Amino acid sequence: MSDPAAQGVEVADRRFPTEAKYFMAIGVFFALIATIYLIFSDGEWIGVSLLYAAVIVALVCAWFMTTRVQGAQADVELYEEGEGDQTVYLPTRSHWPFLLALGTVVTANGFSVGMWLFVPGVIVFLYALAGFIREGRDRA
Amino acid sequence: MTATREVPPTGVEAQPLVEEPAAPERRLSGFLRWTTSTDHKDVGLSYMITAFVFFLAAGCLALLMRAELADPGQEMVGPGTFNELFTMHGSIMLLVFLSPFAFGIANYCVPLMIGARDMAFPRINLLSYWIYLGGGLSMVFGFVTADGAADFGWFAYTPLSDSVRSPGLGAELWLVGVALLGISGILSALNIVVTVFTMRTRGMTMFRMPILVWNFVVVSVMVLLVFPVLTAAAAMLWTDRNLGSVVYDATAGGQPIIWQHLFWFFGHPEVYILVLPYFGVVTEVFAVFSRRPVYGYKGLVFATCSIGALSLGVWAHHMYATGAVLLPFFGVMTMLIAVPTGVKMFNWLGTMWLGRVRFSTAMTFAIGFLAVFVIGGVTGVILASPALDFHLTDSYFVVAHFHYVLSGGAVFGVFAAIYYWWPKWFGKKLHEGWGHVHFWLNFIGFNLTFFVQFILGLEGMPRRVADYTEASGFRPLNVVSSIGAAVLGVSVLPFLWNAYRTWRRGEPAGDDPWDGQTLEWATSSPPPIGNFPEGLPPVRSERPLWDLKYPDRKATTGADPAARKATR
Ligand SMILES: [Cu+2]
Repeated sequence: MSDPAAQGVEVADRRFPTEAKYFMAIGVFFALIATIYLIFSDGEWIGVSLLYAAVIVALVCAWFMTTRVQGAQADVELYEEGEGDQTVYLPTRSHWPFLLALGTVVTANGFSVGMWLFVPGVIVFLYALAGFIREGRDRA
Repeated sequence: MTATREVPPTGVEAQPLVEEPAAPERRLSGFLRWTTSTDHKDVGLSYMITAFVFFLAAGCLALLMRAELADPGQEMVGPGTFNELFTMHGSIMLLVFLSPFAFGIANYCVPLMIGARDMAFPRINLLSYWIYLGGGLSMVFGFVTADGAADFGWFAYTPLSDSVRSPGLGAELWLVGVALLGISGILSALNIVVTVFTMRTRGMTMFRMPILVWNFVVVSVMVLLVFPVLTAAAAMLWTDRNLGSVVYDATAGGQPIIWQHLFWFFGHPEVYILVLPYFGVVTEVFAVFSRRPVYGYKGLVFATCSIGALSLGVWAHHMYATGAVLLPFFGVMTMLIAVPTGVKMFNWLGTMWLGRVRFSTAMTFAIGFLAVFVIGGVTGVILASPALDFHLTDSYFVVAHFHYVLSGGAVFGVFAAIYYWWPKWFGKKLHEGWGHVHFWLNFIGFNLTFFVQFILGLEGMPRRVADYTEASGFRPLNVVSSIGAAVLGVSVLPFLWNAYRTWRRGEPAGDDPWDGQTLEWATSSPPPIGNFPEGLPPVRSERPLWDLKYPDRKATTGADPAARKATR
């Protein structure tokens, strides 16, 4: 594991980063399980659909990791030392998440409790959502 | 570190951009810190403290149930209230305590362990905490509605949970709570995956991450695969109840069993979502307190991934008794999970093997975890066998089994985590003596409560009953179980006292009180905003801090005893 020579080989093979391989393995495994289940379960369609849905999710993630994450973390697996990316914008305080959660929770409860809770919930939700998005604009 | 950040967080877009001062940011305090700080450590602590309060509340519900069951006849509560008690006890413990507590650990530890400044989406992190708290409270508020809280069991089988048989507002609020907790869990899991995949420091390859981080990756991916199923199932039940859809309504062409499939497709992986984080916790604890590298690192990672993957293919072992599922498939798949779990056991024993073991409270809890989890796991294999399960299903045997997994397993892991990271969280060490008192009360109380329930189950006592007759012969063991529950309840008191006295007059712990191996011990306790103002040690193995402190004692995971002795 900590042998640099062995790592040299891995570094050369950057076509599929570990993250992508991870999701590929999940996808292939579920494809296998789902197919076995499809054949033997005699038309239990709920399980079959859920398992194939898992395959699709995993493969979409694997595709995304192959095409995008490789760029985001390219230097990490090059075994250089130093600190990671320091330029990403990470806010340390914001009141919008609290308000957005408040809106979400009140709205969700309003669905069951009644309009008198639902309407104010939606108002808070939309207001907070707008604030949340505006706050994040122009930052990268 | 903060100086290199380009833009300060401002609320108004039109405001001119000003240079952020180079001085470290000041922490907020009190209510403002709770509601607006997006620092991953603050959110993590909020998660853990909130979850622990819910744990105490759900524990009180359990004590009420044990008081009722101590004796035949009605003692404390009627059968209706009893139904509410076990429903809310289960729902809170699983959905509002264990997995959010794990998310709290993830929030606090994952960025520190991979050398990142924060989670990838700090604001979404705070958002998911508040949705979680709102969802948990929605569920609990059922108790103050006219018809009481939800009372159809934590897995809410249709048709019992439909609008005809469970018409109350409490049931509605339970569904709302489940949906909100699902949303919150999905957001948290997404955040963890993105953080691990994009925020690692240089040199921190996937296969150098601490095992805890790996476990959170596996858990988060599982959450992403199964929480949407639960949220969707809850939403459909809600429309069945309120808008007249008939997904689960057999009288109108729907199928009640769809709920069982959907619920358990979430419900079984959920058990692993609850317990895998604590597998990670005890792995870290075993390594540090044995002064050893994790034995068989890659094998352990692979075992964790296999457990996660297999756990999605076993859901219907909860449905054997329906007679409508493919028994051999689910029996075999479930038993297969025992294989990677056994691998992990040997990894843990191998980590301690030839190590210089220090029996701190955290280590004691981790070893206690190992002991009770083996019992929980082995009885799980028994239940996986359809022939045995037809006899044991819905009996106290099942209750004992999953409490050995989740109450013995995961909760011991919770306390191992608390004792291990408390110095990092608050800068002070908990008192070891009180810690050991806590452990032994907890361990004895736990086994007293739940071991006899295996026997009760074998004798045929069904779960979820508020009462039994004198003639059934269940009384003596129920008395033992209730006494055990009382001990278990009392065991929390030394912990609370310990926390209080540490807060008042605990000694400063320093940055690295346990001679740790991973990056979270390379910064101050508690770490400042931004985490690593002094920079990070180079990452050349899965225990970078150890390499820094003991450059001549390189990690070896080989089996050669001489080589292993030289590394500790
Ligand atoms: Cu299960």
